Amino acid sequence: MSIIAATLRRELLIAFRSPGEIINPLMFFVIAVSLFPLGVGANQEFLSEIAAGVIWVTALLAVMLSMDSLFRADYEDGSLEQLLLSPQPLYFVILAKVASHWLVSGLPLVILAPIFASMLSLPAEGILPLMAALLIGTPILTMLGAVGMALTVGLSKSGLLLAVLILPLYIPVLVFGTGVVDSALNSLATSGLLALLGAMLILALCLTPLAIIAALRISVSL
Amino acid sequence: MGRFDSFSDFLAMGGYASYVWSAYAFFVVILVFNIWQPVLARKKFLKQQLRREQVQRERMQARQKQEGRINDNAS
Amino acid sequence: MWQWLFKLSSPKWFYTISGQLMPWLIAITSILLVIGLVWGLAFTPPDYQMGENYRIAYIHVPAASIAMGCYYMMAGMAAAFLIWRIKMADMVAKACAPVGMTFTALALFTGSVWGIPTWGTWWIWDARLTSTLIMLFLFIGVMALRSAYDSEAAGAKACAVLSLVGVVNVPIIKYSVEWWNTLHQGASSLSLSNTSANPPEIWLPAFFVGFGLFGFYLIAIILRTRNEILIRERRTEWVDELLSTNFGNNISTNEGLG
Repeated sequence: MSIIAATLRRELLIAFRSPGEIINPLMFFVIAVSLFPLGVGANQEFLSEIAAGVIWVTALLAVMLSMDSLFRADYEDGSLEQLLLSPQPLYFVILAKVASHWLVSGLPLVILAPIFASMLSLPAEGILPLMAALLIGTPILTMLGAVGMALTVGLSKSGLLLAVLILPLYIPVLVFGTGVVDSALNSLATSGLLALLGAMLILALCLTPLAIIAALRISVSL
Repeated sequence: MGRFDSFSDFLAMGGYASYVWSAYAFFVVILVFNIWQPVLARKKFLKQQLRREQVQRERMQARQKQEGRINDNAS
Repeated sequence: MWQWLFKLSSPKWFYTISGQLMPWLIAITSILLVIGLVWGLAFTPPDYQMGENYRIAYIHVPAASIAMGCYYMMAGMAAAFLIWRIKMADMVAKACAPVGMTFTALALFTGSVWGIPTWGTWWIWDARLTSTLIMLFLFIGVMALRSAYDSEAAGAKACAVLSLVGVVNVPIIKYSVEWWNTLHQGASSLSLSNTSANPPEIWLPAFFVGFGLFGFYLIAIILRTRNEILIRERRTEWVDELLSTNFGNNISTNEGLG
């Protein structure tokens, strides 16, 4: 367990040293959400209908865009290779790295979401369910994004390849995440969908580190 | 002809002609593409291989000639 | 039988055996497709709801199932490649992506075209079309990843990992899209499979077309895999011999498939 704590501490320290990498994805989220009313008009009723979807899609894109900071720096200075060779249990180190990334990129989204959701006229009953869904969903997005990042970190001109690979896999999280908010707005129970999201989170926690490790080994051998 | 009264009725497909036949046309496109693309790739590869072998053969011959000349000069 | 399967994992034997099989496969596939399509197009009664338009189903339904099966086959090959390092498995997986993509495109196009008179629009976010669209993205993603890698070996492994990650997601995606669709569309009668009131003879030609299309799918995979074998094994003796004995100095050949 201490390896997780040590990795977390180190990763968070590194993250806070370059605040730009933390702030920029959040700014993207903020600006992109604000673009929607500008694009579709300020009709409050209409905005409230699309609010959950807009928040979720922009959160998903923000997470994906923030992925670059996960493995690239380590890959470029060679510490990723060292990590793969080290005697530490790789599974937990990877989990800790992804967790620390979520703490600085996903968690702030969960905290910011209510502000922007109500700016998009999301009714009050929907806000807490939205936060709950994002709280469970954003780690899944981070983990899937990490798989994509591990596959493409060694490529020189990967550009938007990460998006092409990862966005289809984000769809179930999106569907169920917005479903939670819709159920809450229609006074239906949200626990079922939240449980589904929770199950997906556990599945991701168990399986994605394996895929990430396999992909990192491929990328490092390039 | 089958369930249709005439061939022109068959082509008309009860008014749905444009839909049914465009779907089947795309079907034929896919069939043709899935055969034509690999066959074309194979022909391209074979041509490339032959050219490569020819170039190799010519290089070998040129080298042998050179060696022959050197041997002649040496002996 | 296991011996025969082990043989197939050798590129040379796969090439030889597939070369012998191909004429038979082509013959059977052609017969099945001709029978099924002629029967389905001309000799079955019109649907009581959709008129003659339902005949698109003879193509749309098998195309969609085969595309789905293709993804699973690609993932199975990926697993074989990663676990047992069978190079042949990667060659087949590489063939699966473009073939799967074309079959998915076929399913989408025929589904759209079917929808114009049925729903009044060429696109509709129903569960099946949406899931199929996502599957198209998955296939394209695998192809994009492979081409992004310069190293063939690394690209093969990366695509294998991606295929396996995707295959875990395919049932989840399907379920989520179906659930999403029932929520947003309601239980409408816009389902493409609403043909229970029809006589069974409508579905008999579907079996012929289904098996025929599956045979064609195998042909497409085998053609591409054979090419891949020739390319990757071009430095081996048996390919060398094959090329020189069969094609010699003849560049523009009409060579058969053996």
